[in-house]
Amino acid sequence: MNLSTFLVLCVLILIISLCVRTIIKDKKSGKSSCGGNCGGCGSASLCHRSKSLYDVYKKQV
Amino acid sequence: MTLKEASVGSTVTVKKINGQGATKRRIMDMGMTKGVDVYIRKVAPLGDPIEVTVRGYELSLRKADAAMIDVD
Amino acid sequence: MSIQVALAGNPNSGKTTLFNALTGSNQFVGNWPGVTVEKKEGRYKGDKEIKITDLPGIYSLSPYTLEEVVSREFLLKEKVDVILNIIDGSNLERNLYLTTQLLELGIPVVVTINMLDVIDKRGDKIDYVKLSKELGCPVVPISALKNRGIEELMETVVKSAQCSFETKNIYSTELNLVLDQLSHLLPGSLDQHKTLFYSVKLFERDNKIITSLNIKIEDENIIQSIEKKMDDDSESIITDARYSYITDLIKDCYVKVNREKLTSSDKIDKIVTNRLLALPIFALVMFVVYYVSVTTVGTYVTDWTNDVLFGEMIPPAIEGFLVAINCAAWLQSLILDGIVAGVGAVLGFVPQMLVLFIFLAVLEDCGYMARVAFIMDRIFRKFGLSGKSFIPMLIGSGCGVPGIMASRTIESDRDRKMTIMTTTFIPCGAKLPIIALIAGALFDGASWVSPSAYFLGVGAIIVSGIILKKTKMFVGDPAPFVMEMPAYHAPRVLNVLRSMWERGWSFIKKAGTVILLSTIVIWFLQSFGFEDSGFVMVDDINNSLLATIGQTFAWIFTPLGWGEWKAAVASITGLVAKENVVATFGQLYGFAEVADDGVEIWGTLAASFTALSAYSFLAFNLLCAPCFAAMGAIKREMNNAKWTAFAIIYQCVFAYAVALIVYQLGNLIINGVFSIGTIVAFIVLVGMIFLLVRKGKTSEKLEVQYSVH
Repeated sequence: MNLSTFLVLCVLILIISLCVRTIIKDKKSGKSSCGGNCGGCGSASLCHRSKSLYDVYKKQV
Repeated sequence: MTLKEASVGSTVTVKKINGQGATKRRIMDMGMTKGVDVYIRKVAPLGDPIEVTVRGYELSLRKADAAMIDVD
Repeated sequence: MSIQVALAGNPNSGKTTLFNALTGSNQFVGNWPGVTVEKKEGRYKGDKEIKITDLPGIYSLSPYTLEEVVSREFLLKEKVDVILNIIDGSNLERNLYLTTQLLELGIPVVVTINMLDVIDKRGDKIDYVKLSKELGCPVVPISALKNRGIEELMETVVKSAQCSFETKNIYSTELNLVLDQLSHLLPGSLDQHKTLFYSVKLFERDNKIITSLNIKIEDENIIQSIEKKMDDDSESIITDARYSYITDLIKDCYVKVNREKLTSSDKIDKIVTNRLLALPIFALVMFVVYYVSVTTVGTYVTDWTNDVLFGEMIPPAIEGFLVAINCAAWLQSLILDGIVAGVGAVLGFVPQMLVLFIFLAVLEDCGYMARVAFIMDRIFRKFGLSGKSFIPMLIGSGCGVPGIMASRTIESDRDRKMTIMTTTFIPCGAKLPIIALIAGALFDGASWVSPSAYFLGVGAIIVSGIILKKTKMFVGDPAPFVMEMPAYHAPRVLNVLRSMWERGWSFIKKAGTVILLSTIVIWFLQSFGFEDSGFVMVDDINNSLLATIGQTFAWIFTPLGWGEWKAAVASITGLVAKENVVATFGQLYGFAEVADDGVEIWGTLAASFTALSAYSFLAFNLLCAPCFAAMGAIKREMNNAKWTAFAIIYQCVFAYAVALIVYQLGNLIINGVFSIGTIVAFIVLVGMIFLLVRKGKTSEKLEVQYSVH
């Protein structure tokens, strides 16, 4: 293995370990891999309603 | 008459809200209380739900729930 | 001195905008302990000692919804110094209803009236001084959007935290007499300021509070006598009293300009929810969204990124560099055929995704979503879902994960499970590259392909809804549908751009992390294998490990028209992230060779598919199990391993059936080919139709129940 191959390999390994670190960090902080979160959505308030209402509702019917 | 039967474009006054518990509270929390004027704005393209104006804002509810509200 | 501020207000009152304006970027998002309700915390930009907690958007403090209970508990249990109550000035009456409840808690309240611009535009007048005097708390007008009045507001908040506070009693003498009697039941250890709140809760027979206080109302007579007198239950008496108080209050403090003419919101609404036009308009909107983001922009921007940027520019440059420094051949192959080919194939589609995200952000921001729920409720209820199910599905066209999470909005357990199972049928942003690739390579960029993918998703939801509704698992009654229709407003440029960027960035980030790692694994599997001389780097990709693995299960997909191992492998790698399908194609069909021999991936891809098998491939990949992230979301929201497994298996089986029908029957119609597969496809089709039309186990019990009254 020549020196340049070694260097390129080092860079590659560095990049890969950064990838893994980012994935683990995001996973821990509970971020999903997709960008959609409710912060940027103007209709977010429509989505934050509860699920328990129906249980009560069911009981009285 | 109930709110379900009120015709589109008319303004009615709420007389009484039947039922109990969560659904009733929900409807009342949204401002549907005794004596309030309700304007029936429209019916959804497929006949249900309906949209009304109450206390200056638009509320949509199903006919089944509107049937709980007695109006004049 | 540190101050704990709780930000409370109705949904759509500009709470999030104010919270962002107050805290800047320094905020923490998490869940409340034990429940999946979003909790946001941050510190005030101007004074780090002020900690702000954003409560969920609520209409009331009733014990019936999770959000309301969580907010109530927080206000009662945590040491909150000031409640900052944000009110939508254009909808004073209903917003003040929550205020009357907050004022009873015995915590200093600062009311802030938002949306000044809207009020000014309407020409309405609010007498802030009078309102403040009547409510007994400071009232500060602001415009969260334009950042006006924020500093004054926070000064008032700090001042309020240091002053003593009087709870506001809005009830009639008669009611107060009863409340006073009930207050004697309260334990003496209770904070004096909170007496009114607890008395009211006792009167309302609020079980949650009564249980937490560990007391019992011995003498129901006190409550019952007044209930009889007013001919209503105690809870409604209180609600009535609050609204009556507000009606009187408003008379003095609010001058509404009499307007008979339609507002622009009304005018838009007249067209958008018109009886005849509503559904065609919705279909048109979605058609345009997909047509523009895939087809038109596809031809301009993506062609350039795919052919020039990741074709003629980057790979030769990297190759030139690696050759110049004399890097080992295998490492060159890893970087060029592996990483650059795979990641580049995905990044090439980023422009299209950004366009899609702009459209979605506009739809989300302008208030159209609530209308879609309104329009679709009837149809969706017919097959067992609520109109609210449509919101997760619209969000799901950006990404399935928040789409699945948005299903929380649905009150009914049954509706929610069904929505979770079907939301990912809608093509998400990550599936867009697959659609664009197939549309471009096999259909010459035909305009119908990408919208058809969207409507295929909607169709799959409808069909699944009907089928599932008729099974024993989903028997039940429809849930109530009571929903505010927010006024339309022009989408705010900053909001739209931020939303687009947040989503777009995370796709780019994903390409640089998850996809990059997958491409390395795929490269390894495709480059090594067993040949005559043992385990070596293979020349012929068909001898590689990947081919060996792929061939073991590729036969499963033969009836679908794409039994070649490359397509099968691509489908499987799609489970990691859907863009991986494109990345894998990029690697397997030789993306990096573009510069060498001028053969594009589209050309080689087109050679190994027919239009029919490509569409069957597309249908399968759109409908089958989503990526791992989305599966995780399904598991979290279902909170049940059996249901999760059922959801995923159902999706795969359904996808297989649809792809089979598309390919086999398409083959019969277009090419006149009749085989065993055709017969099987017919049987599957008939089975599906049977499941659709058979008599279900549900009854419209709820409707019957109500029509009796």
